[in-house]
Amino acid sequence: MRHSILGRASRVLAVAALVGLAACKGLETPNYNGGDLGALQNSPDRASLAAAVQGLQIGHRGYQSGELGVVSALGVLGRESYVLDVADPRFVNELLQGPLNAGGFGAGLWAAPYSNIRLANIVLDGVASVGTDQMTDGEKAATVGFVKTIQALDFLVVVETRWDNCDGSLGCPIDVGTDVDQGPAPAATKDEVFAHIKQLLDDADQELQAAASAGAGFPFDLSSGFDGFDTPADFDMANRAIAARVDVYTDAWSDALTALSQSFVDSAATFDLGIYDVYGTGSGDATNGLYQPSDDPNIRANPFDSLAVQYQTSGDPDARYMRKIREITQRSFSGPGSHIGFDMYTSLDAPIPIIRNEELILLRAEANIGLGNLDLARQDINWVRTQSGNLPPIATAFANHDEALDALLYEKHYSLLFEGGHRWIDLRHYGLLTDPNYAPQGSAYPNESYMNTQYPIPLDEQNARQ
Amino acid sequence: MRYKLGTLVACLLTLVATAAHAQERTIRGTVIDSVSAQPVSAPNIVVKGTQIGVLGEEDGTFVLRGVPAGPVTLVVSRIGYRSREVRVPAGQNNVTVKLYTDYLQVEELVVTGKATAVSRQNLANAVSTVNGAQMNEVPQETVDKALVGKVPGALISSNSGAPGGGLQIQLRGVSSINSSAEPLIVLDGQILSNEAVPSDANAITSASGGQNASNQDNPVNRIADINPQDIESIEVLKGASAAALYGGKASNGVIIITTKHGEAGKPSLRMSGHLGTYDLSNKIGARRFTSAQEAEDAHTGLGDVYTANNGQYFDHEQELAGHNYLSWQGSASLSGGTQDTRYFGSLLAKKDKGIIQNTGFEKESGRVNLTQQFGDIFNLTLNTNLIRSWSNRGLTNNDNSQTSYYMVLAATPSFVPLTDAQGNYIPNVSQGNLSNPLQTAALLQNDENVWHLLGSTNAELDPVSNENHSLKFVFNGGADWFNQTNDVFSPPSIFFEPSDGLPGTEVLSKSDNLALTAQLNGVYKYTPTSGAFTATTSAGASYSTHDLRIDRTISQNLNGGLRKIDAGTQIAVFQNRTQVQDFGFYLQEEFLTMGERLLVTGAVRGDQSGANGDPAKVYYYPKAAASFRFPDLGSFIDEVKLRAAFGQTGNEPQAQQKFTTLGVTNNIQGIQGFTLPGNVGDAAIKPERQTEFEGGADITAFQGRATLSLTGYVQTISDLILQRRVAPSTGFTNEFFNGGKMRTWGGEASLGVTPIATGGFNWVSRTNFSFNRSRVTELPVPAFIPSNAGFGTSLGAFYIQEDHSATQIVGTAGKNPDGSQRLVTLGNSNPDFEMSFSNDFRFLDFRLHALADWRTGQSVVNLTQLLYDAAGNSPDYLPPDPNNLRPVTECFPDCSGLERLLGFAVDGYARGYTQSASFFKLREVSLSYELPASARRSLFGGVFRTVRFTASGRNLLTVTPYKGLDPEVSNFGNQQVGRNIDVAPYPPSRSFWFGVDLGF
Repeated sequence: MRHSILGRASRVLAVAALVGLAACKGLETPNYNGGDLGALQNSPDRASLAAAVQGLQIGHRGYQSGELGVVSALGVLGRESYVLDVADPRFVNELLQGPLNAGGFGAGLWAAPYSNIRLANIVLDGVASVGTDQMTDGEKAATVGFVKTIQALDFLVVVETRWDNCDGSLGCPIDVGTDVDQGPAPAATKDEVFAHIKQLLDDADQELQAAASAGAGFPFDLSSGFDGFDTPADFDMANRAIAARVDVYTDAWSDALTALSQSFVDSAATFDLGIYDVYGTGSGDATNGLYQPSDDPNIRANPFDSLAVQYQTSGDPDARYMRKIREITQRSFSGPGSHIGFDMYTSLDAPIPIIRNEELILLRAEANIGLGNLDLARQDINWVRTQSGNLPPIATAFANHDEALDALLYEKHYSLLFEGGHRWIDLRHYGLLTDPNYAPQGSAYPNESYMNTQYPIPLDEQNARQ
Repeated sequence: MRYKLGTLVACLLTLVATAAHAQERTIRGTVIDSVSAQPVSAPNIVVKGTQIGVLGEEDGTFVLRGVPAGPVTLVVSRIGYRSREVRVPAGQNNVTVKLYTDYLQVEELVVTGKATAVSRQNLANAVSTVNGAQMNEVPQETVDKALVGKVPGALISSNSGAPGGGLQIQLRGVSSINSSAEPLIVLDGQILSNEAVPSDANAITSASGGQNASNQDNPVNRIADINPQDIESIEVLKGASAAALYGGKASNGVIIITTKHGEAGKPSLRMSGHLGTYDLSNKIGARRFTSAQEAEDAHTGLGDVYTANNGQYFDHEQELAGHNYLSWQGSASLSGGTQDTRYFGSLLAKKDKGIIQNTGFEKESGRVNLTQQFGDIFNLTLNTNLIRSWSNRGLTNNDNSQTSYYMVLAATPSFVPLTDAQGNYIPNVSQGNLSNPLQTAALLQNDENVWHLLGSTNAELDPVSNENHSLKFVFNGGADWFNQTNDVFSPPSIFFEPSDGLPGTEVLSKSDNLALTAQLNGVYKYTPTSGAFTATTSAGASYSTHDLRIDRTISQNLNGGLRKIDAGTQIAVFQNRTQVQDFGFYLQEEFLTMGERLLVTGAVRGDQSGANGDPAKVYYYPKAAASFRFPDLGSFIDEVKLRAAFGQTGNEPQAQQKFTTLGVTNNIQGIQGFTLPGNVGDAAIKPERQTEFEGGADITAFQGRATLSLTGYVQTISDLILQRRVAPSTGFTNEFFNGGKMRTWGGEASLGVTPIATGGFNWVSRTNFSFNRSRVTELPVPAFIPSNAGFGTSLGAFYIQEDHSATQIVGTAGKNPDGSQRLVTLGNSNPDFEMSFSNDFRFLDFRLHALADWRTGQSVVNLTQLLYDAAGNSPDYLPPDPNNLRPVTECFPDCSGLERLLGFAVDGYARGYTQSASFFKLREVSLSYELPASARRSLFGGVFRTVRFTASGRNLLTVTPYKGLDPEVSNFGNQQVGRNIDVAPYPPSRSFWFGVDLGF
């Protein structure tokens, strides 16, 4: 009896010891939950680089929609829209009334573009390191051209949201690198960021032309938002369109006209011709959070949109206003209230423009105003004004620059309403943010005349750089 | 854990019996209770200084043979009584021994190693023990709830008022910032998976954005499944000096739960039934509007609604949470056995109905524990427990979709009706999405179904056992498996459903968890013939693995409103799997000498874990402890013990912290892409290390009727696993790393007295006191807000800052002269101290028990109130003098809602919303009456052994200055740092119970 128990016990011991030994050898368990960044960085190939470039498209559209995305948040800042979200009074207290808190809102419009910028750098490194068995030189050029163009768009959001804060002690970094363990990149000023954006776009232009002349296509998939711009040659026209926007923002009027001439601007074409961030309802896809079909949605148009509108000869408001604005249930929250909402983005998969023909025509007008070619500007303004707004043309020549600019800003307001913060960016560009003719100055809520000029550098960025 | 010494001793006796000499005598006797004079069943009797002894009978009688002829001293003991030495002169062969009840558990055995235990009187650490009876004074849904206020140094707090689990146990305060917040729970030798898998109500509330689950879903920890009535005892190892043998998993302390295993003797059948109800115990209230104009001013467009309803005040909170449904609990247990075979079986069924429609908690549990002794040297124990539990916690906590009950109530003015004259739910005209929380509560299903199976075996082999040497091997192995299904269904008929364009949402999550533990321990005990010391050497190794898979499917736009994930047009799926494997070993020496006065212990534990950056690296955790007893110190003081201990433990990284995981689940129109994660893992991550020094004194006085235990400790936690915010311009937002140090220190005092112990009247009183402080002493990164620790400093948030408490709450306070935002400390989530008072009175056949819990100094960030204020709906919204609005810093804490709001929104002061949450709660009250034997017999004959009636209540009274629903709250669930954030929680309740207990 005793013996047999001991025998059994020793077997138990042996089993336990084996379990223990086995354990010592293989305690490592794999990461079941996703891909490995190290593999992408250390051993990139055609497929993983393609997935990363496709990820850049996902990343860029990721911060456009939703209440805190570019369209909605910058819309509030430019007094195009309100977000009356009872779950978060900060849409009123911070975005509308100010000041913006460095620790809270707005950090997403810094982190998200930088995430994409970092991923783009990883792709650029990868493209440089893979052999021609993975990508031909033409394909490499095509990829670099596309990636740098998207990266320029991401940097543009950084500089437009932080504006003069880029010139502060913290700045807006450019050289964010690819090494995870490397500290924050050195700060750069607003001008340096703009110069870098321009450089990226020009580099991309060269690469895309090289790819086109090599007859190469893009070695990755493009969403339908790039339909018509899905070859390096065609995409190059989108690249030039973005370059024109950056030139206008930096008062490089002649450069803007040159870039426009190489872009897809075309008065004869539909105003909607352009490139878009797209959404979908499939599993794993993202829907457009600006779609709020309720009669009492959180995202609302600013009543100022209805006060500032001009009228068609029929007596109806501007056709753009008619198309884009709808009546909704009046609601106020924490002060501001509104009875109008947007009739845009009317489905879960509605695309959001990145840049389109209507803007390009107006950019051409803007560049011409900058150069003093007021009549040329008036032609383009009238084209948009009559074709898009169904308003009577401006028959008399602009008396001066300011009158022309005033007319242009009206067209940009309604042509590009709620499409990416154009109003806020334009008013700030011309120092008109606090001009009551361009932005409402009521008393619906405290501090209504205050306008946020820019977002603070996020607290996390401040802290990390201390 | 108490050792079943009886069986052991009895076995040993048979061995030595053969060696008996000729000049022997036989002593017969009876052991009785000192107060009741009733027999004490199965007492242990040993002749002091020998191994001669016997296990007495059920009726307290014993026959002790082979006693030496001269005068002897008998040591008589029995669990639950203080052991007693009785001198028996040479000529006396008959004795009656009175035993005194050990009300204060002076003498229990406490587990100190994986397979060793020492008597509490020698214990070198402040280990707290709670026994089964103390756990079950008042019907409890869960084990953690039953522990509240019973362990000094254990801060146990509810995350919400929802029925069922969801409690956090913090032992000796905060011990990490970003790593696991859960103590290690060991149930019958097995690591219990105390996972809290969220329901993914987030797919509806969008509390954390996206559709995947969030810790804002108010999840339930799986310790909730354990039946409190199965528990024999719970030991709590609070710090590293006591818990070092548990190594890399023990930094948050260890809770050792031992279930009942039956005792030799006649079968004992116990049955009990309880009926009760839960009742809303606190409301926020809402602003009363006095005119249509006032209503219109505050809520544009709703003045007409005010007029149409004649300015009626609707108590929406009462309508939502004022339900008093019947709750019940029925249980039965059977135990007994022979000296070789013991068994314990139990059944439990309970249903707790919450105060909000459809919410509740149900549990059915069946347990069988078997212990079999094979011959003299082999003992096998099998424990099995199958549980089904169900809970529905409705839709509570934060949202971003105006769906969570209190999020909507906060924005719904009190004059807006939610039902029509017939009582039908009507769309809430004050809400853009028409969300009506009453209708949501009636129609939304948030079912959590869990099947939980626990099985373990304990095999003990004692190949050598004699006067000088004993050798023991203990193998313990088992599995903890649960399968959890969360099925959240929001039908298209819910008013808010169509507002996202996709009416109807079905969220189905399947979680599968398997944890395995196997360990082998060897114990060698040596006592020289002189008896000068006992040296116990133990060593062992253990392997454990834990694998949790969660699959979720979210389906929207349900065809025909069917509750089917494949009936929707928009379907999202998520999968998450974490697996960790650990291996550990230890060596321990316990040395007891100087007449059992001095105990010295030393041990070291080594641990490897797959969660570490280097899975092969062994991390060592040492411990050392000593205690010295000074017995017989004068007439009042029985004994004073001084103790000191040192130890280290670790807190292993969590499963994914070493990885930087590329997002692979996103696509754009079906085109897949990689995206960068926000978080960077640390490929070299290692465990946090806690070093603790603990010292204290235990004093026993008045023949064991008074005990005082005093403990002080200092802990240093180094290599903190921090999730620092990195400069977001790097493309990442967070990064895990080891760095920094934190120090915590505190004290615990526990006073137990039995002021009165007569036959008719007994009074046992226990008072616990504890406090804890923390300080971040080294922080290699700038101060930061940890994740899940608030909604930004403008609202009050946790802030990890060097030379500050780890649990401080900071907020904005206007601007510095240079224009930057000024941050000030507004409060702390950790109380200044906790004190609890437990009193038991027994008068004849009546028994009264009361437990009160007092915590003071802690603060809560009351964002529920911010939501009421922002909507102009808080009951104190209007300032006393509208023409003289006071700055929030001046009027706090008595500001009106408008002043709080303006302070936050205009002046940039977060002050108004971080509020004192000190409280005094009457946790438990129970009054029971046991039918006297005579009445029992005349009424029922001999059927019952006991008949007891109990009326009891829980959380009957709460006194607090806090203006929110409940000062115990955590929107983000269990958090080391980041509790005490109040966003639309499930409201609190009190409960009342009536019960009958029958013993057969």
